Amino acid sequence: MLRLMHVEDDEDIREVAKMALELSGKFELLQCGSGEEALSKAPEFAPEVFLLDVMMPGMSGPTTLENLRKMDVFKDTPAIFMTARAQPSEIEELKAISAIAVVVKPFDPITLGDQIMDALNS
Amino acid sequence: MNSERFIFKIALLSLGAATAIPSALCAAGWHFSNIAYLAFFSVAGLFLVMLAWTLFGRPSGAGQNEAESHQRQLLQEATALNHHAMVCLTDNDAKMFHINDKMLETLGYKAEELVGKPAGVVYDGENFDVFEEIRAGLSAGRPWSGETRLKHKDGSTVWTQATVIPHLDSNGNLAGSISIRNDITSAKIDAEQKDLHASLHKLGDEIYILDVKTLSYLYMNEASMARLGLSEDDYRQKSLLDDDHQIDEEKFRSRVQPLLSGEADHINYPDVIGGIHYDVRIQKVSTFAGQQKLLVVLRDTSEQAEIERVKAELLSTISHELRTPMTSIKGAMGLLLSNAAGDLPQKARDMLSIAYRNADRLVMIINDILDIEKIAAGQMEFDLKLQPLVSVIDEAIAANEQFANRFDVTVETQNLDSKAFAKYDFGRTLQVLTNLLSNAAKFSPPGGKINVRMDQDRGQIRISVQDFGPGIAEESQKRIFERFAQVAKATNSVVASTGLGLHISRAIMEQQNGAIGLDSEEGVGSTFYIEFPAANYEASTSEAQIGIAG
Repeated sequence: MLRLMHVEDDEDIREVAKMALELSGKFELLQCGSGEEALSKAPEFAPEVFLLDVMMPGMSGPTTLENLRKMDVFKDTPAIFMTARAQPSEIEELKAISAIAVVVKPFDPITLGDQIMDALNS
Repeated sequence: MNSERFIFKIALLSLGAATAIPSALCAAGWHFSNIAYLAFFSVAGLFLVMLAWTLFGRPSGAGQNEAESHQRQLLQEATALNHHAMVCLTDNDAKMFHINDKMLETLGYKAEELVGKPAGVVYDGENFDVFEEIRAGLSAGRPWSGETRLKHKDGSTVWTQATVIPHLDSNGNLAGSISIRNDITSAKIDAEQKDLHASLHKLGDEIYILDVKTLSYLYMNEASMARLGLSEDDYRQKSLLDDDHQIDEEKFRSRVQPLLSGEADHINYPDVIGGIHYDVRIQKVSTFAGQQKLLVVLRDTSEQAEIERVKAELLSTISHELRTPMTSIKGAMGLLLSNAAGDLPQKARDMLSIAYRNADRLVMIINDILDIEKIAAGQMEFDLKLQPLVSVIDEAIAANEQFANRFDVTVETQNLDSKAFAKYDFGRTLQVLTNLLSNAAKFSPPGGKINVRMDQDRGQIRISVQDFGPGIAEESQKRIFERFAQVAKATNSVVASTGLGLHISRAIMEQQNGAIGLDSEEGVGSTFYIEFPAANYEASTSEAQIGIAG
């Protein structure tokens, strides 16, 4: 089981993602509703992969990742973004800030787990 | 003539006087012999005739010279007038019976082409009311002066300053007219150019005229001078290459090269100068003296750029706001359908399937509308990479598999060449092919077949998607790539599209230097195809490898 921290402000999406990831049976999941919450809970949970929403009120996904990277322990932890904006330039920007993959919303809940595993393996 | 008559009278008077004076002297007591009388008569008569001759006879000879001189002068005046002005005489029906050479030459006619024709034929059609006005004035015996617009035989306009005088007969009736005109066309053009120049000078856009060789400023309008803080005297000492413009001479010269070589009529490009967004348009201007100049127009597009930025932000927000709930809706329904929450009764599953399909459709509509907006705003981004076309074909067929299964159609491939490379955006081309494949599936009869094939000809690679559905009527084929063009009803109405897919596909293909087209026959089927310029295989493989490695 891979420890995955999911950061998403939309409660419904958190719920759908939770069921989708549990379905795959490959992840131990901790969900956070904001970047601030993720920063406070990450050290204890020690995630092996981050799944971050991009647009969030308060701290955005990229800023959250930037702050996580400041913690030595998460310097190289794989991060995957989820975004509803799918322009190539935006995807490139996210990859430029060390994202290993970008999942486009609406995502397919049935294959979400596989998409994350594929990104980690490639 | 009058002076001759006068001399005659004087001679008669002299004779009379010569007769009367000796008679009067006799009556006064003077005595004359016959001989003396005769002598007196002769001397006095001769004296008077000579006096008359001296007084009036000489002026009579000078008068004849003056008349000749006057005639000569008139003739010279007429010659000068004919050289200087256009003269036309008309009869009382306004038909021309004399047109001088100057007028014929100016209007490009021969005399026989105009003589006997109504004077109105030389008027510019739009200026015919002036002709009517002149006629009305002449009928009332009034002369007319003003500008008239005549028409050259070649159709061009000839502006004239005209004076038209009525020719009245002895009863005071209009017997014709005499018109005298000067050609003022070039003066008119000069005046118009002056107006144009004045307008350009005041135009909000910045206008520059540069010398091709030195790139020094030959002209700047007010807007240009205002931005650069220069006066008319200042700019003549300056050139485009002055430091404050930070223009790369080599780059600029290579940019304008197509203008100088005659390959292009004008060039247009966006630029940011001093933090301001400009639309730059440059064209070559050649003067009569053969000097080549560059006309540069800078249009401030910052406001437009700001509108585009706000629009893009709005689109992005809408995109986010609409997709977020759709993520939950589709995700939740997808999970239910996959039995993640346990088995569902068949009826519930059927209803949920309808909801799921329509949620899918809603996402497609959102995507299509956002794509249309991106295309219209020129904001659709393309990541063009040199890569094999087979990979995108395979991916599209795989993505369409579920759809093909639903419509019970099979996809067959023919002639796919793994060495066929082109420069294209994978995601967008996948979108186009998926659209063509899903359309083909929708319009195929159950149990039908879709052929996907590749052909290469004259540097073009064509990928065709062929179905054996109802085909598309010829009149509908023309507008099938337009927005909202739904020209046929799909076999399954549940999967009706937005009518935007092919329009978006065309825009995507055009942005990739490719093309999209259609061959269709009603009752036989349709073949939609896309085309890319082929890339050199040897070069492309090494480049593609670098791309992959990168």
